[in-house]
Amino acid sequence: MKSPIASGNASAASIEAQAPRDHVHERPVIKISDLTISFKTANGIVHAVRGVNMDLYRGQTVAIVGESGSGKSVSAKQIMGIHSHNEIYEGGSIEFTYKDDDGREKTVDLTKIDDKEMAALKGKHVAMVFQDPLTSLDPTMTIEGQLSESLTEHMGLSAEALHARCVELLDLVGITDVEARLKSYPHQLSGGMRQRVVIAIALSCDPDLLICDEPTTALDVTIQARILQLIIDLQKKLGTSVIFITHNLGVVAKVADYVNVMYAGKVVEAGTLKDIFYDPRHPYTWGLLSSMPSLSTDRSERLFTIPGNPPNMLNDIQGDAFAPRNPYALEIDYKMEPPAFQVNEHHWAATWLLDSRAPKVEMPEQLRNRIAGMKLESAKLREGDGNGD
Amino acid sequence: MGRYIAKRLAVAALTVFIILFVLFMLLNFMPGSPFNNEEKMTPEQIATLKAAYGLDKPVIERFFIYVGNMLRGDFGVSYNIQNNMPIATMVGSRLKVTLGLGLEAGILGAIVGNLLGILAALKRHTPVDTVATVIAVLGVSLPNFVFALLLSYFFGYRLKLFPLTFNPADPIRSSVLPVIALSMFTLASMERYTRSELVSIMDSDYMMLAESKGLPRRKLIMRHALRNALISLITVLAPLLVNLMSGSIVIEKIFSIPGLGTLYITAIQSNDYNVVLATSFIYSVMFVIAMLLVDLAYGLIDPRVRLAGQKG
Repeated sequence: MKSPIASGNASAASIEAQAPRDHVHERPVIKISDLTISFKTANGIVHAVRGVNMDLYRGQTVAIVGESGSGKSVSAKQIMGIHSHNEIYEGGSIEFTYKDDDGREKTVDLTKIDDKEMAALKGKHVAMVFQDPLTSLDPTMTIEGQLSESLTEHMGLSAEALHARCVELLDLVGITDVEARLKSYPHQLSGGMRQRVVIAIALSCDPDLLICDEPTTALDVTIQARILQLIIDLQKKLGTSVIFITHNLGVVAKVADYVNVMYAGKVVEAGTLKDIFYDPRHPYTWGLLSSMPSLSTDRSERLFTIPGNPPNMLNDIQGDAFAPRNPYALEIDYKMEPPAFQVNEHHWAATWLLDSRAPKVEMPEQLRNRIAGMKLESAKLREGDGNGD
Repeated sequence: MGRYIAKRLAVAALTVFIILFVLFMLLNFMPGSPFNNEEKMTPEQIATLKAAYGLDKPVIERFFIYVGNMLRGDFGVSYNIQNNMPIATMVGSRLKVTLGLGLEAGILGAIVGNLLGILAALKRHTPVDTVATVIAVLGVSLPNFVFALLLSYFFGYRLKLFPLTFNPADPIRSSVLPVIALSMFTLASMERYTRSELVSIMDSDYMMLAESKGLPRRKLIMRHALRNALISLITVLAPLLVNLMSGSIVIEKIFSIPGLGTLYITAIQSNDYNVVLATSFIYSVMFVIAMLLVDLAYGLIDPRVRLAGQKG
């Protein structure tokens, strides 16, 4: 697999250099390099993840955004060491840095370790919150039983300490009537409550990294906001690093410090939340932002949709995977994969439009107005906050 | 849980009563009579016999007399097989043989089938899985008398390891072949269900969550996969038990085992009303008890059933 970073191209900087300024001397919690994963299916090989690069620094939240099938969940499951039987690892590395029992920093490549070493990390140093709380708890086991499993496995607590920790955890995720809830079975709890339990399970051993795979998608809209807020609050309180997978840009705006936009098994644009929302450079990101409904959207107005469909991942993709849907596609887009072009220190996008030789293309007028509106709104919000009490 | 048990028991009792009523009526409508063979009897003689056995009374009255007697342990007497022998005595020892045979075959089939299924599910897409699948297909598709004949030919006739027919002096060695033959269907079905159930459970979200806790594979399977698989396995166990009981009729005949099944067949052939009624009723009661036990076990294992009706 060829690295997407074309060396020798003057304007294409290395992804190494795009580490945010304040983190230069710090090791990222997760550093994914050129991760490539395929699946063997009856119809052929599906190239689900085609060289993903991604960094996450301690105490921050990085959102991975993309359509279904863009490879976001597959990438996250690689970090968790969850593999399906027809999966083929083609290359790349996932460097994970965590604090061991003595508080020393340790770095391992998650693609190189065996199942036993992975099991020692899972639940303790890296944990995951899944999409559907209705199906992710074992129906035959009490909440306390499920909550104490990783604690017993990794911490070796006494029965008393174990129970105390379970109470503390349910408290932490905002569940009341804790003693009764601990004795309950999953079917006795509501969806929102179950997702709180799943979050409590994930946080039980105070992990270095928490992966949230669309944790609010399966919930009621009213519950969604509360669960989201809970994750944000806990992240702030515990300082956990979070990878947040979602296709909802509204959610991204709420939770993320950094955003990775994925398309067809690749990260096509990455940057801080501000970079991506106020200064998007990739035409796919433009499309995503334009298709997001907002409060000011007129009801008679049709929502913007990106024309066409995502590419068939069974085929080998020539050039930029987004080119056929991209109204700004250049000739080279069909021939050669664009490298990552650095926009600023932490912002890069993989589109030929950023090449110095490319014709100058601005984002669509409508989107520009929209972003101006968003900026205005958030400025107003901040002012409101200032005059708060 | 108490209410759940009480409800199940009440339903079971009602079922048994309805079965008895239907059986009684069906036998009443059947053509022929126990006194058919005696061609030379005059109508007067038949009427006398009928009066002696109470057969001249209206059918509903006879039904309630029968129920009343039955509750006191009196199933009536045999007309033809052994004249005027009380059926309770006739059935007693035979029931023990049939139950023993069914129980042994059930336990053997359930345990071996389960283990094979677990093995096949854990070693999915390997030769182990293929072998288990072949066994399952054969076990489900071949009737148990085929196995009975194959087993008696090879192990009884050729190798002379086990007696060909039941020998009351050596009950353990003589029941090996019948038990294996009888257990094949249960074994094969168990294997299939366990495998498919486990495979789908292993792909479920809660297994993924349990896996993400870093549990070793052994605990994952014992604690989460098998417990959940058990719930659905218990539901398929009920029809399998039923199958065991009806299967034992044929197997008993092949190995000439003095069980309920042989008696049942003889009774039907000789038009012995009371024996047919009593044996069919006992078979039905065994089914109902099997179902009841399955229901209760189900409630014990699945908290969603156990706690139904309680406040959540």
